[in-house]
Amino acid sequence: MRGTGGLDENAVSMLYAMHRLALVRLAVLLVDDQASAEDVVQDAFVGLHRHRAQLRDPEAAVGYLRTAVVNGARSTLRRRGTQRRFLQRRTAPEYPEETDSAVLLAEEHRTVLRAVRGLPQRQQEILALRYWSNLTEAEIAQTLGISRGAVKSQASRAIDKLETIMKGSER
Amino acid sequence: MSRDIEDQLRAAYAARADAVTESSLRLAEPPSDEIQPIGDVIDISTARRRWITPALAAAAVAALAIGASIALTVRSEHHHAAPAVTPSTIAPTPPSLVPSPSVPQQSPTTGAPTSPGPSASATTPTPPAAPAPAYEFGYQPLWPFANLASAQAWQAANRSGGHQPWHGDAGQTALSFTQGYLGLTEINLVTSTRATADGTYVGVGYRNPNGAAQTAAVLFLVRFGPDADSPWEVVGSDDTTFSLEQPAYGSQVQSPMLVGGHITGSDENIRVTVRSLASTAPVGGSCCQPAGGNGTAWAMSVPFSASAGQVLTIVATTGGHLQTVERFAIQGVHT
Repeated sequence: MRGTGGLDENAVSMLYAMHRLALVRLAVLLVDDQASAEDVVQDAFVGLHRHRAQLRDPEAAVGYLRTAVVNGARSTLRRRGTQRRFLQRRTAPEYPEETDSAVLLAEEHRTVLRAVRGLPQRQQEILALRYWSNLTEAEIAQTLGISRGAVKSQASRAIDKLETIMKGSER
Repeated sequence: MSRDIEDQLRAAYAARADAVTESSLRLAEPPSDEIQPIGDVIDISTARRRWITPALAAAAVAALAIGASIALTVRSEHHHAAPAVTPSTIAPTPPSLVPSPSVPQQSPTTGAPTSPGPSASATTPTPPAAPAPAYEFGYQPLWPFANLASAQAWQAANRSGGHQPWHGDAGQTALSFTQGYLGLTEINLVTSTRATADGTYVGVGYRNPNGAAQTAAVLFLVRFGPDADSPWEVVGSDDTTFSLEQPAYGSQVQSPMLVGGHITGSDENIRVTVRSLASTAPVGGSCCQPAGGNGTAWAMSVPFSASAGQVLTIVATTGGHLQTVERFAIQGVHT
């Protein structure tokens, strides 16, 4: 897969075979809806295919995909937020915060994930990359385009806040 | 940071992520120039996903391949990859609509040159041309190819321009087997590779929080074919601290089957899943059994649903300390 001419078709196919499911799982943690998650991942691979000539290292390609998924998830949530605000203005319904996870998970997990969704988007991304993708601080920093220090402080803040929320929900 | 909240977070993420399975994903194909030129908007969400499961291609080729199976011997030299099975071999033959079962019922088989009415003898002389030497595959072919014909179809395609070249890389094949077929996506590293005269042992694993590579299993792969560029096939695992010994390698099973082995560890949680190349979803399984100790026996009854003549991969996993799956073992059997 290495070479001077970038990734070839087979390399993209192999990356798709090896990483699609894991990336959809990461995306679903960020957007909480499998259909949107699959769209986000598909878009990421389309982007990879488009830019494959510039990517010579499969490891770099995986990093590219991860970043594309996080960015795509952010865009999806932004669009969803716009839709929610629009719908609330027109009909004032309560837009469902939870989608398909609501029927799948045990209450203890739903409580944790509900608390996570109360965190700023950046912190949610850091937590998903840290505690689901098991990335190092350096890898998270690279994925999100921020410093390692920022990753560390945001993660710490997120966990503290999560703990506070969880304790509050227990009362 | 609170260890408790981190553990809760990991568990919640794992539960949510595990709800997304390979079989629940909609059919799709990777972006390809063959679909549309680069730069075009590519809508492939409804395309077939034929590339992701070589098993599908294998099944299609198998359906066209001639089942000219003949007798052969069984090799037996490895702890888990030492099948007393009935290997299937196929000689170049014209297509037929007769499906070729990958695991014959009674005796080992060997390939022979075919003609209408294949002989049961591998040494039947054919006057005009010497018969091709029979190829013997003494293992239970688990993944990615269901039979030799499928492997040879890939080999021919690869020689004429290249198609899924990862079949030629034992490490990538082992990792694809683990992640793509078994669905163990947390196992994302090749931790070791050891080539022997018989095949290649590939360690697959993950990085622990300290960044150190941990081996989850050592898979055994052999080339599925007589040539140096024959593709790699996963045929078994080399188990140490977590083994899957029952049912025996290559044995015929029926549901429910007793699955068991030995384990060394503490606070383990064993899950068994049964997979078949004929299905993208597990065809059976059982969960979960607490286990632990030093070389302690474990066993559980595992129901499954599979038609006759299928090769099944039984996979036992354990973990829960650092991640959901930290060790696993596999066993190849057939119905």
